[in-house]
Amino acid sequence: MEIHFVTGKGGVGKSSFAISLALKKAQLGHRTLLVEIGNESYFEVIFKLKNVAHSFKNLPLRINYVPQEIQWSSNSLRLHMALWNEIEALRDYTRYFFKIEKVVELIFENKISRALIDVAPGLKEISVLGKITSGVRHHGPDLKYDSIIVDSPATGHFLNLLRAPRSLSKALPRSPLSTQCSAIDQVLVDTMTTHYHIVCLPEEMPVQESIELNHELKTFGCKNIHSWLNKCVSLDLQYKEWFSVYEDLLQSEKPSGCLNYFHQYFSRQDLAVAKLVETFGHTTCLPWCLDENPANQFEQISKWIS
Amino acid sequence: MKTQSNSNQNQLTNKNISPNNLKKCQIHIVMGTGGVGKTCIAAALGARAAGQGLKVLILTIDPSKRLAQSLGINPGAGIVRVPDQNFKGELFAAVVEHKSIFDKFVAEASGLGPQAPLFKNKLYLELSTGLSGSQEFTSLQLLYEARQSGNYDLIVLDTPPVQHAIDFLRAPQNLSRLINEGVAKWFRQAPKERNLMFRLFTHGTGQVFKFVERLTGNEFIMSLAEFFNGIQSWQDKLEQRLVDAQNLLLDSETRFHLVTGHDLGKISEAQRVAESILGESFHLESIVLNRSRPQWIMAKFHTKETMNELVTSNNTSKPEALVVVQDFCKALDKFYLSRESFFEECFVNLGKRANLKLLKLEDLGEPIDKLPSIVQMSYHKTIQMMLNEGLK
Repeated sequence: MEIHFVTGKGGVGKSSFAISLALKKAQLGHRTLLVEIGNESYFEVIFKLKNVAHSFKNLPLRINYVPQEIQWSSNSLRLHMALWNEIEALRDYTRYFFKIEKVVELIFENKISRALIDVAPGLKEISVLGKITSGVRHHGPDLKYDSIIVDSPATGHFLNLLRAPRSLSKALPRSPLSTQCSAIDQVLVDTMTTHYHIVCLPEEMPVQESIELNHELKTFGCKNIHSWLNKCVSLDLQYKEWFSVYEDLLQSEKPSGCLNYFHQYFSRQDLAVAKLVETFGHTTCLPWCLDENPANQFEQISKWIS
Repeated sequence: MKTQSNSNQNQLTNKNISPNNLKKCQIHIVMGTGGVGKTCIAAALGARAAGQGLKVLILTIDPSKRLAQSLGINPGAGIVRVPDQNFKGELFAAVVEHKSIFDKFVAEASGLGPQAPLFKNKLYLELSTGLSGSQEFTSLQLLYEARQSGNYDLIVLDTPPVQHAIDFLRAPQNLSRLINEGVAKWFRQAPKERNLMFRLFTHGTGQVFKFVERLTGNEFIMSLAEFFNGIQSWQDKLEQRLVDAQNLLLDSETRFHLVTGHDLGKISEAQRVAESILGESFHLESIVLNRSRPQWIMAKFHTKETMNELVTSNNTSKPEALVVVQDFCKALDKFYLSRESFFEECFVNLGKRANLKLLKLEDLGEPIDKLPSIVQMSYHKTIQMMLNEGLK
């Protein structure tokens, strides 16, 4: 069983990459689940757009806690999708732990306990991580997937999420909860199951943030850290070839805004690749897709994921 | 003679002093999801206002190292005067340092010194940084203090990058509810340990605490009780400040700008956020599509004719490279245009109803992280329109 966390600076294209990765796994024959965290689904909005719906079969009206299957029209690939929010994850677990529905109701309909849940440090984070890792740990309600892709929050919030089980297990006295926290923590750093994908753009700030995040993840003990560079231009054309062309054109009297733009873009892209390779040992360039239909974009990107 | 006495009359009524003696101060809050360019826009707004002769403060959340350097911001330095500036007015900047602002607020509100053991308490540390709404609270706290100081004519607030832009506006109310109605209030009502334990196990909620105790061990409940007993001293002030913050957000001098990028999902979401903002009576001034269709794409250098011309007139060695670029430019142009019309479609009705400005700011092609480029950006028509140039 594999767990894949997709993160990166805000706005780099995490969600697009996450669904593309999920599509790739589905292609490989994995029973795949794509998970969003929080109270609102980004993909639900995308699926409701005018020209997108026809790219899928069986589109659910809403993306909910319970996984639902969606199918790509063009290639019949299937994915399960779910939106996991902290309260429902905790409720799910409480049901599993206490087994008596009445007790669960008592806890979750009660204003005080709801407030306690809100306030308890790390509780929301470990609910979600507990759910995500429940299959691997064989603890909690059934979660039978070969690959779980988590469209995770951006860098800062992601690190808070990741660190919660470990800090909670240290803060709590020995108890069922602290034991679970340690177990969750172990899955997060398990080489065999857990992967971290840091999505980046060919711009200074995202690159810098990716480098810092890599450091934080390594320090934390994460293995399998992958780097992805989104919005890359003209992957068939080598930068050096381009540069010689550009130099010729520089001689012309009509320097063009378009050519300047590409020259700058290529320089930044080249620099980004160099920095990412230096930090991660590798990076994979993903094309800047200009297709108007996001569903096509997801498919195109998945082709570049190996 | 008459004219002279009239003009004297006018001089006496200073339009800047409002009834409660506080200097009038315009506030501009820049909202939007992560990565859309809020910080740059906030900086440009500040620069523009300073260029107009005002005394301006920019509050940033997460500036790049270069931008922070250009603005003269240093961690721990508080509010600084932006170095090497040359404005008619004056520009100041600060970064919202969440932890130190929260601790400072608590220290002052509780009367405890900054060295008090509370600040090392593990639960306090977790709650002060992790509590939902606390980050938003500290930026509003800083905004409130800056406004109350009377030192500025205009303040620009860059908001924390959240997954959902509306979270920023909901934060004060949520935090307030938590303090007032939640477990905090419950703990507050039982100051003595014995009473607390008694209440814990005899009320219906006793079941709840039994559950938590079973999961976490009973020490957790006790330390939580201790913590909430401890916050009594500053909790009223926190509550008051939350009310102040909420009033500040609703004030007539406070304008909101919602910035979005090109992602279809996010533009859609921005539409709903805009509806919520307006629905809750906040003053939404403009919606900005940032990094939109760049100027150069309008130029015809990527047409077949000019490309051919360039190729033939330069005997370039790789005409196919130019074709690749040309094709890409065409696709890019189409992309930008389709996003622009989607943007307009999403907001056209809202714009009419609410007298809202729909603005675009094109991709300037380079990072805006030095003062000269910020100033350059500030001359952009969109920045002018966001400020409404209603500074007269």
